[in-house]
Amino acid sequence: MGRLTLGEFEELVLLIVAVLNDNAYGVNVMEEILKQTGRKVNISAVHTALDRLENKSLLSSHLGGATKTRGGRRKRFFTVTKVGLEVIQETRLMRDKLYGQISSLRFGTV
Amino acid sequence: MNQPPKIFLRFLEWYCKPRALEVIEGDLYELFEGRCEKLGTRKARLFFAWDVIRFLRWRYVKGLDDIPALISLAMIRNYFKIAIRNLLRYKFFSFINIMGLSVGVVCCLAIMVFVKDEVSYDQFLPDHERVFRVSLNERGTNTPALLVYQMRQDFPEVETGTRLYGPFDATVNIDSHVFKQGGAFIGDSTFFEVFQTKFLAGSEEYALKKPNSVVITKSFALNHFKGKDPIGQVMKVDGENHTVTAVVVDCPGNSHMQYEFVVDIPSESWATKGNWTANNFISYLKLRSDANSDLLQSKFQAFVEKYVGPGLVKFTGHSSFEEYLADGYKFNYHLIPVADIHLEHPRMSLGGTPGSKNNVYIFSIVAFFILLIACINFINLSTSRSALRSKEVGIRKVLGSLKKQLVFQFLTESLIISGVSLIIALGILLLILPGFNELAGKSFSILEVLQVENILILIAAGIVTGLIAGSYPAFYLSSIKPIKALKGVFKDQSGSNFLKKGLMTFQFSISIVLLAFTLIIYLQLKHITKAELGIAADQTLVVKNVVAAEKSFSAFENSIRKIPEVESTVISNHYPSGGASDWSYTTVEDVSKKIGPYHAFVGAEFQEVLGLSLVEGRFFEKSRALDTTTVVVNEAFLEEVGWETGVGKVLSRGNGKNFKIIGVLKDYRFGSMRSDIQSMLLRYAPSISQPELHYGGGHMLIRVSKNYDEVIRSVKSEWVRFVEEEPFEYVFLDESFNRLYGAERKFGKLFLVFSVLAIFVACLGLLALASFTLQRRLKEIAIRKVFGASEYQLSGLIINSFTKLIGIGALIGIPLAYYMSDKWLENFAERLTLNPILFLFPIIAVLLLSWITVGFQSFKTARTNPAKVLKDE
Repeated sequence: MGRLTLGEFEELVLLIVAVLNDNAYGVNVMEEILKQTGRKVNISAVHTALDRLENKSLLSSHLGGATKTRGGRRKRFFTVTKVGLEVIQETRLMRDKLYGQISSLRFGTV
Repeated sequence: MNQPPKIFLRFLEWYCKPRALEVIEGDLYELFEGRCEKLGTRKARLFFAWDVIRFLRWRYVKGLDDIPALISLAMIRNYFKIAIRNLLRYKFFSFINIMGLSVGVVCCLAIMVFVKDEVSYDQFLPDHERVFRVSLNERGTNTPALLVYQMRQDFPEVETGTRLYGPFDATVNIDSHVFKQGGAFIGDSTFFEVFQTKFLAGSEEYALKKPNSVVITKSFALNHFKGKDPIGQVMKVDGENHTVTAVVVDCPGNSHMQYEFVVDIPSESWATKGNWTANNFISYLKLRSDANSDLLQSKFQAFVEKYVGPGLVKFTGHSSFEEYLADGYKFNYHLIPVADIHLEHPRMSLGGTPGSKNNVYIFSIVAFFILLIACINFINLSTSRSALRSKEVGIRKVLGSLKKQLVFQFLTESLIISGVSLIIALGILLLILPGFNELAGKSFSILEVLQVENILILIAAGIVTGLIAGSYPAFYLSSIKPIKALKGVFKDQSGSNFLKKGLMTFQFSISIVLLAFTLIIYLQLKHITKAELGIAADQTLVVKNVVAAEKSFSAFENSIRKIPEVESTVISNHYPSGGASDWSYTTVEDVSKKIGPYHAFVGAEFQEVLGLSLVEGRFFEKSRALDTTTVVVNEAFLEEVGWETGVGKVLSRGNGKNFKIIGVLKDYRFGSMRSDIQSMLLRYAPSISQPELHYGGGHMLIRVSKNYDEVIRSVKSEWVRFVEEEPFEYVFLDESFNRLYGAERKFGKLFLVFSVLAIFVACLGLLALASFTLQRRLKEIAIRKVFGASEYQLSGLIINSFTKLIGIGALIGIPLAYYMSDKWLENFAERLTLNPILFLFPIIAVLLLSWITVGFQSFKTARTNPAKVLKDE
């Protein structure tokens, strides 16, 4: 696996999909982002991010069944792949490592 | 239930990759439903639209791989193959289609090049939108000498300006080689600041600043300074030495000003000081780039009052300029954009062919109609053939062809036809280009015709023509029900028959209109050249510039008079058809009137030479020296002033110079038949030393009894004996009158060509349609023949069906032709009376042509042995 770069927004979407745990699809992800972070994003941005992550094989997807709502259109559900989970892990470790090296004085609360 | 905006949903479906579409649509629907509850329908719809637009990303837009394989390369190849096979199979129809379309396209292309040139006049000039001609009362071409100078002083908007005079025919002498040169101009030193051009040699800065300098064009330099460096050379222009200071490029063909050379303005008082009421110069201004020409225009009336007003008022006898205007007179200067001169103010053209807006419109319309006739042929032939091809369409449909594919198939065929026509048209145009140039009075080169822009327009036109001409048959044929087609019950529907007949009628009416109009143009031209002039034009020879023989004039005159065929001669600064200037006079009576008649200085023999007759009074007499203070007028003059009789009345030129009328001439033609005979005033010139004879060039009018060619030779030999630095120039008055109608004659010729082409194309269509009809009615004719119909009756049967259409076409065409001709004839004072019988000729001509076209074929068909036709089944 080559060097993987994750944009900030992509990372957020990846985490949200992981949080939603097998129940992640476009609208759902968008609403979860609003709920968790207060960020308003356009649905097209969410789709783009999901597609990119899938291309990088961090996510996998399958089509759900048709329902009466949504004009009869099916949903595409996303799940985090093994690689995806590793990336989440990796990013977290790196963050923690870097946090540890910041002098606590810097936060200026003392 | 609430629905999202349909148009955006469609849009999404149109652009979005099918793979991603369903999920995106689903999400958008879900969001929409949620928002409908929370925000209301209106807002939800807005959000939906916004989201659709936001999804318009590279990633979701259809790519090449998403377009269905309907138009695959193999199919296209197949379309071409079938199309070409069909064209070759029906060679006759293809030939007529291609031929007709080619002619139509040639006309269109030629006229497009012509129109593009006409509307491009003077736009090559840098900053042409800032260059203006100053006219007097919108029509007067000339302005006072001081105008440009004073306007530059008074109006900060004016960046620069130039006065000029021309074009005139100058007598040029280069190294003792004497010749007449047209296109001579006199111009200020600022001439080339306004009319910027490219300097090939010499200095632009000093070009016309030195006294007695001359700037020549490249072609003039090449013609007359062969192999020499022209700079610094001396050439004599009308007797004065001028030094060549610069060589510039030739004037482009689309310039309203055509100069061969420009000399500097002489420093005589008429040029430097001038008089505000004497309009001797043509003036151009170049405004600053930030100037507003309308604003400047609005300041002109005050300018006129300040400078021209005093002199004007003194002359007319008004107490102030306001009173002069209140009396209904107009006097103002106007700015005319230089690019408008050619088409809007052709009278102001300086040597370029004057344009005509009407001609541009008329020819564009005619070209369009010819193309239309060709398209109609195409539509008619294709729909007629549909019966033959319906089986093919049926089989194709049974084998699974989609309607779309059939439409493509037929459109390919028509596009190939129009494509081939285009190429042929281009070839024809290049071949006939010299002829077209002569006809249109232009000089287009092959390169000009083959400009990228023209080619692109041509290709676009070809595609549009192909699509229009091919669309009806394409959609019509592709909608045939296969079962009907294969069973053979398919027939020409009455709808398509009606369309076909309607279109043919239309073709005939266009042909008849064009033919009728051409006929009227020709008859009118004949009418005006044959009309009564009131003078013996064919017996009058004009020798120009006889002032050149001034030194020994009486000897020259006597030697001419000694030629046996010469009856009499006279000197004059005017000859009929040669143009004249107008001078102003006021009548001396209780309430004086101003009048501006055409004006000439003539010798005592003028009446005798031209064969004019007097209505009252007498003509000038050699024995009466005081006749210089008398005038002779024509009947139109009396009518304009409103006098019953003229003799004894007095006219004034101002400053106490009074002239008594001693005679009234019966009206005679001295100008074009476009206008009525204008008022004319003759003054007496007792000898060649009369100064006015030297301004306009003094002419000698010679009455000749017979042996015209011999007389010209004898006069020329006398000329060479007496005159040195002046070429011999002569014209017979009837020729000179004919030249006045050059524009009309050219118009007539162009129209003739176009109407012949239109009729040719229409006849081609008729020929094809007739032969087709005959083919389909072969059996019917054979059966009729078996039952005893004669060959003539059978031919008549076919001819009749076309004759009816021509009749209807004539009914539509003739009123239109009448209206057009009547409008056109309004240009002439001396006009043809429109006799309705005249319009029978074009109808008969079209009828005869169509009978010949159809008749031969139908007769041949009628003569075939019916057994041959009927044995097949």
